[in-house]
Amino acid sequence: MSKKIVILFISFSSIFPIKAQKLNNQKFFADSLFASENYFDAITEYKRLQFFSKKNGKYFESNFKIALSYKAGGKYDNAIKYFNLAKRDAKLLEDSIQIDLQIIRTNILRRTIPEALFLIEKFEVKNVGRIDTSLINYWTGWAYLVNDDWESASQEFSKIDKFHQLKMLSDSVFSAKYSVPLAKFISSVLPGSGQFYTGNYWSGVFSLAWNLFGGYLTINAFLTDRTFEGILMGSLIWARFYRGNLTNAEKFAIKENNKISNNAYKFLMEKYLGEKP
Amino acid sequence: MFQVNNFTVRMKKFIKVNSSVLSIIFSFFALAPLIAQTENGNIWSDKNRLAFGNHLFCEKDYLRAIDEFQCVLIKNWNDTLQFKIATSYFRMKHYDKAFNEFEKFTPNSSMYLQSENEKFRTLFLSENYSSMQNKIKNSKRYSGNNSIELLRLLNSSMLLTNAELPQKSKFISIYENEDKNILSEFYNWKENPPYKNPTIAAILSIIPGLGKIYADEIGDGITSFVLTGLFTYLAINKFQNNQQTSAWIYTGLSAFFYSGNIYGSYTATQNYNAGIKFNFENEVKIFVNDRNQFLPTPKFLCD
Repeated sequence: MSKKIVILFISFSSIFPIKAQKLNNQKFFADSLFASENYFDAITEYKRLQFFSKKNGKYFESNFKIALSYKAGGKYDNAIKYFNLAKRDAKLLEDSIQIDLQIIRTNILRRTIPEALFLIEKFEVKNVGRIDTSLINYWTGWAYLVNDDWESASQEFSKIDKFHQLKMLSDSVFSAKYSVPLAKFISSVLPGSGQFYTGNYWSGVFSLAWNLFGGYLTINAFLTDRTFEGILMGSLIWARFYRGNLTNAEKFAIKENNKISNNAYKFLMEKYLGEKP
Repeated sequence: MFQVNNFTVRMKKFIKVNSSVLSIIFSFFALAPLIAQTENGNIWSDKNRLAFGNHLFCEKDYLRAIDEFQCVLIKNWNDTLQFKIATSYFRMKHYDKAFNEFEKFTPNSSMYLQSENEKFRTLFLSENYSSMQNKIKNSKRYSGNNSIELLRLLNSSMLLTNAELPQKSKFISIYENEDKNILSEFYNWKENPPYKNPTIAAILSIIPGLGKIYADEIGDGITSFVLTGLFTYLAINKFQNNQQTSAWIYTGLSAFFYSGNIYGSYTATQNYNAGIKFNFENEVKIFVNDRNQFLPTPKFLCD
């Protein structure tokens, strides 16, 4: 009798494991694509897995992997959509925390910094006592860093460690950057000096020369009682070169600052070994 | 009663003796649906790929949907599937690829008419108006004069090319009553565009600034008049006071501003014309697109 029961059990049960087996194989296939960084195909196969495993409650992991694949492929909007779907199915608190962090990191990558900062603040309030505050400081620092706000980034990283690598980097970038208001101010006092300050010497020399020329024509006209001509020279020639000098000083300071920031970003992308968004 | 008991006893005896054989027979029947399940449960079967492709299509993940459809289509040609592939490209705004996919339908196909419509729509949206016009004129429906939609699309597209328009009454008559007024305005614009003549602008610039004012750049015109006038005045004044060097500098400056005023008026008129043409064409495109290019729009289950 027991022999019969075993045979009957195997017969019945064999119907169901086949499907489960296929889904397991599919999951394995999708995971292998994901692991080999073939993200486009990984997304397809996770979606296929979801489609055929409806009602099996396997959404959390697949949605999470889809989101990570989209993130890796630079499709940040889709990534956030799938992170949110994964969060809906997350049963463990750790998973939920992990997803929240991924959403924050994706927002940093997407350069929606106000959104990232808002989410970090919300995350911090929601998880008081549960998470290490250095995690909050770290991603807040990254948000500022991506936002080109190196001073605030430095402050955040210094809360983790006064000698944190990113704090040192932020400090060095911040100190290397030119002050745009200062460049404009010194150029307003002595035309061309703003360009000198930012290392654009030839532009500084030309700016100074044109302003001297315009100034000479204008002042000379006034001194020889050619008031009307002096007004004309002052407003049309000298003022034009003076305004150009101020614009140039500002433009060069911004350009040089961008160069400094870009070098830092290049370092972060290529050489920084810590966790990145 | 005795007979029933006798039967039961005999059956029990039979089962006891042949239990293993019966189990195997039962297992076979149990496995039969399993074999079928294996076919249906194979997620890579054509049927399942198609179902998954449709799911992706409805999710607007068109690129992946195309992959699934193509895997099925490679084995069996299917009009609907081919149409979905083309539509996927169309919805991704890959108009060249969409056109090529719609082009694969032959006149024998049941979806030929729809595919033809979609080809015209694709050409219109990719702004290949001349090509679209030629294809419409070569289509059987146009020569048979039995497609008012095609005529409407053709006429509207003519507003966007240099093609000669038919007579106004004929042009407008094919449209719905509520569209006739706006099409009448479009027609008038196309026949007599309110362009300004760059040569006239240049001639008007003999009086500095007037050409710019003609080209609708009133502020620039006034500035041009003031500057040229000032430098000319200064040049004359210097010559009268025998200040030769300054006089020649101001003469050079006034000549520079004067010639700049003529050239500027000419280009300002060209810009003005380009601007109003751009606005007109934009209005026509919005009008046509609001009406789905006058063509029936294919609907899918998930639309």
